[in-house]
This record gives sequence, structure tokens and C-alpha cells, in this order.
Amino acid sequence: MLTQLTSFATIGLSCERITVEVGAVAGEGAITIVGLGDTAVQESKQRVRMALRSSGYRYPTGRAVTVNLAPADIKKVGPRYDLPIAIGLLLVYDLIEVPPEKLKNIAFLGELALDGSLRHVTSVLPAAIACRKEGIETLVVPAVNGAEAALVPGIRIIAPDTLAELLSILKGEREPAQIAPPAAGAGRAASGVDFADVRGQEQAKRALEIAAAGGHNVLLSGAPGSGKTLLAQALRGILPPLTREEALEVTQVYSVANLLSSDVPLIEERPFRTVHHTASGVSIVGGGQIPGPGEISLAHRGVLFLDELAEFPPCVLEVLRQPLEDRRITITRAQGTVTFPADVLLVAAMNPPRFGGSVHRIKRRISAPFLDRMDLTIDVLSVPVEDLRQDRPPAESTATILERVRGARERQEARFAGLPLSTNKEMHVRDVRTFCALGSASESLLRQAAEKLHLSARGYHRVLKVARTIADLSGSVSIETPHIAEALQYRQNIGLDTAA
Amino acid sequence: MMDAILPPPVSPLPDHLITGNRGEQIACRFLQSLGYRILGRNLRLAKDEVDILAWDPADAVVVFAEVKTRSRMHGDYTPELNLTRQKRANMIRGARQWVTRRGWEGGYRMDLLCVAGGNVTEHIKELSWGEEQGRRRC
Repeated sequence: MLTQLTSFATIGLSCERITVEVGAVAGEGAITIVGLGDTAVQESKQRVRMALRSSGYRYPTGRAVTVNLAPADIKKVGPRYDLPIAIGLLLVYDLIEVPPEKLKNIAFLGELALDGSLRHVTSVLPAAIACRKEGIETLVVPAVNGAEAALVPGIRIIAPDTLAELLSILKGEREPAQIAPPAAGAGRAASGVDFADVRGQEQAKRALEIAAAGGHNVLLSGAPGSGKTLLAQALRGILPPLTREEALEVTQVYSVANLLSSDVPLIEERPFRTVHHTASGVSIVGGGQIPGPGEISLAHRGVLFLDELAEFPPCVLEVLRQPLEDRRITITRAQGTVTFPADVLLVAAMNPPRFGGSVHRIKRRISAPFLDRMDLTIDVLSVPVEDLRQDRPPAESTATILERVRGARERQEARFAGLPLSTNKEMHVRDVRTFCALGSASESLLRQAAEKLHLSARGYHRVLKVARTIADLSGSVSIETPHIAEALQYRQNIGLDTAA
Repeated sequence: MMDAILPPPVSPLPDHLITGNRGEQIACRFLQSLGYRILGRNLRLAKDEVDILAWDPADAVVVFAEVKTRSRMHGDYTPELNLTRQKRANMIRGARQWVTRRGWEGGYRMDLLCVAGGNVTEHIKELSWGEEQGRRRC
């Protein structure tokens, strides 16, 4: 007696269709699971046997069962195959009857508890997307994953609490509960720091506004206690909310990384990931025997904040260079190659040489190519005590700045309509030529500055992109001389002679 | 089928063998009450011995049963404690021996029946379930 069911394995962010074949012959009672499963897959037989008994089924003796997870050359990881194996066993033992044509259109994912209830599994959203692509009509997931699966329209989701509940649905005795996709705005938390609370630092605030509008990288350099960390946290509030597509992208990464809670099935707030300087290179870019996403992918479409940049080991900073340029990270291991998205706004903070050690030491840690990728470098000056007085009027609020950022983003979207771009930082060299045309006065200013500052070709283009964002913020169609001048101002020397 | 059961052995037998024999009789009656057919008792299978060979019609399997007996019920001192790892391995070896020699292609399993104070206290089915694949081919 044989049966076949469908499930999905995760490789990076994509999913591969897995056929779970279950066959039983008379012989010595045992379950053998083949098809390159890890220990969790092998242990599935113990869970399944106990869960079937707890669900009220007599487990027949004297049957040698073989479970084959095909294709056999893909590594199967985790307990997500418990549910298809259990259903397969019930079918080969003739304990339930489901027409084969109905089974062909159902995919199963779920971990079984010993009492027959279904437990949370990872990567449900990528599986639901793959399900729709494969043309499978129904996806069965544990109840806690139901809302996550329901994010994908066009497929029917069954999210039972227990194996017994699922079986009564399959038999047609009960109708599955309708699962509504999570309402927009459910998972949005208020940002902690408002710009109105940050006194002084007008130049730094302006730079962060430009960064938020165009997605440019920022390096904050300043004396200890000048408010670098506070400014970085306030940046969170002026980033426009994620669009539906972006939210789905981010949620997929979190689903694979098993960081999605059932209360918040859709991530709608831009991620803000703070990395400590003791973090390893692999933890930042991702990796592992079976490659998983790192901090840079978890910060996708959001902010990656590196505090105390000068304390990071040089090798850790160097691994960031390539993903910062490509906005995705490809991880290669013996098991295979996977690509994760890594479109981040990098915010770094450091103490300048006069506080954080010698110029020589810092330059050894932070390479010139890394500094070159910092579009906006700001010297955060200490706030005069006069500005900290309580009776001073509060500064501009986050809401006001967010309004301007939104305006600038709308202008960018209108300009890039029909192109695979959404922000100024994503422009390629050819796009820069199209969208960042300069007048002769601006052209000569930029040329002079480039010579004086020893700008690299990349630096030159980055200045143009920042100038484009500044023009967008001021509502100007073309890039004027003041915009170029302001953009150049953020290429300031912070005590490290980067040109040398 | 009861004819196949051996007549009581000639006395005098040591006490522990008498207890064991009684236990096996109780276990046989228990299995029969469940609808099992007793195919044989105290079979020699090469080096090993099977206490009861039975047929379970519910699952259509041959059952190789080992009976462990205590004459009295005693809270912590249960009969199943007497099934050592070695004994279990021997049971499985004997059963496989039988299956191979007979060319039996149906299902089979090894059970443990515990008798204490004149009653069956425990019936553990499929002793070999969940063993590692490599160790199963002994």
C-alpha cells in the first residue's frame, strides 16, 4: 500500500516541493525515513506514533513502513514533515479515506506534539508563496501559523489546532475555520525617540532626513555623549512605512529565521537591527551549515546600526562591503548557494580619533573602501549647555520630518515609475546619468570638489545621488548648485584622511 | 490448539520453573481471551527459546511472546525488570531466526507479558519498534 503527499522544504528564501511517499508492507514493525533528513526528521517517527495513539487511532503492529522524502538529494531539515507523515500512515493503514485527487491539491506542514496537537513551524510564508506558484489549492498549517499563511491570497488555508480536527475536516465532517489575513497596522509599534526630544544637532538631523528620504548610508562621528545613538534611534521614526510588497519580503526573511511570533504575523514596521561590535562576520551576513539569514538580511528594507564602528574587527566590516553595494548577499556553503536580500540603510556611529584612539589604529580597522560607501558623514558636535535648558522650545517633531521624507519618496517613485528602482540610492551608473543631469555651474563645482577631495568614481556618483535626494526634499525637478554643495558638505573629513 | 501446549513437566522441578510455567499458562489464557490463537509453547529456535508463539488476528501478525512471572505482586519489584537487554536481543534474534527459516512473509512482532500474583499486569507490544536500522539486522 502506497500513498503520496505534498510538503515544502526551505532553501534560503525559496521553497522546494517535497513529495512524502509512505509505503507499508507486512514484516517487523518499524518506520524507516529515507531522503536525507536531519535528526529532527528521523525523530519524527516517535512523535508521529505517539500522536496517532493520542488522537485515538490504534497503531497497527507488524508493519514495516518506509517514508521517502523525494527528491532524495535535497537536505530536509526540521520537524515540519510530522504532519504529512502522520496523514500518510493513516492512509496506508486504511484508518482514514481521502480521495487521491483531493490529496493532490493539498500541501501539509506541521510539527506534531505527543498529544496530537500541532506546533509552530518556520518558513510558512515562503511555503505559501511556493504553494500558489505550484498551483496547489490548499495548504494545511498549524493554527499558530494560520495568519502568516493567509498573507498569500489565492490559496485556501486550513489551520487546525490538532490532528483530530484536521482529520474531521479531511473527512468532510467539519468545515475549516476561515482565516482572515492580518489587518494592516496591527503590528506597528510607536518609535521610542522623537526628534523633538533631541536638542540641537540640526546638521545631523538634516543628514538623517536626507538618509531616510534617499536610503543613503550614514556615519555619525562624535564625542562620547553627544547623542549619536539617540539620533540613530530617532531615525526609525522618520522612515516611511513599508509597502505591502516590502512587508511581505521582510516577513519572509523573519519567517525563515524563525523570528516571527504568531501575534505579529506580518512585519509592517521597518526593521532596526543593532549589532554589537563583538558580533562575528557570519552572524552579520548570514551563514551556517544550512545557510540562514544574518543581521544584514534581518535589517532588509530597514536600518542596520553599527555602534562603536571603530571597535569592529576589520574582517567583519569588510564582509559588509559587497552586500552594501549589491543590496543582497549570496552565501555559499558545501550544501549549496543561497541568496538573501540585504537592502539596508547602514547607520554607523563612532568616536573620532581624538576620543577613540589614534588615527592610525582607526584607519587600520575601518578601510578606505568602507568609508567610501558612507554617503553622509557627519561630525556630531557636543551640544552647548545653553541648548539643553528646559525652557527652550522643542525642536522639529518626527511627524513633520516624516511628512517631508514621504514627499521626497513620492517624487522618487514618480520618477522611477516603470523601472525596478524605488529610491535614489538604488540608481545604477546609467540611471545616474539619466536622472542626475547637472547644469554647467554645478558641474564645475563638483569637478573642482572631486579633485580637491580626491573623490573616487564611486564617491562621485554617490555625491550625485545624495544631491538628487536633497533636490527631491526641496521639491526641485533639477539638481541645482546648492544641492551639490550640500551633498559635498557631507563628505567631510572627520579626522581620518580618507583620500590618502 | 491447546493440544500443542506441552503437558506439565515431571516433578520435582525447582520452584522458579514451576512459577514460570504457571505464569505462561496464565499468559496463554490471557491471549486467548483477547482472541489470539496459541500456536506453540516453549519453542526452541536454534540457541533461543520462545515462551509462547501466537497469532494475532486483529493485525494479522505472528506474535513471539516472552512471559516474565512473579509469584506475588510487589509494588516496586515488577516482572518487567527481569527482561534484560541481553534477553531482549536474544528474543529478537530467535524470532528473526524463525521468520527466516520458515520463509514467513507476513507481519510479526515480539511481545512481553508480565504476570504477577496470578494476573497479567502488563502486555507490551512490539519490543523491537524504534530500534536503529543498523542494529536491527543482527
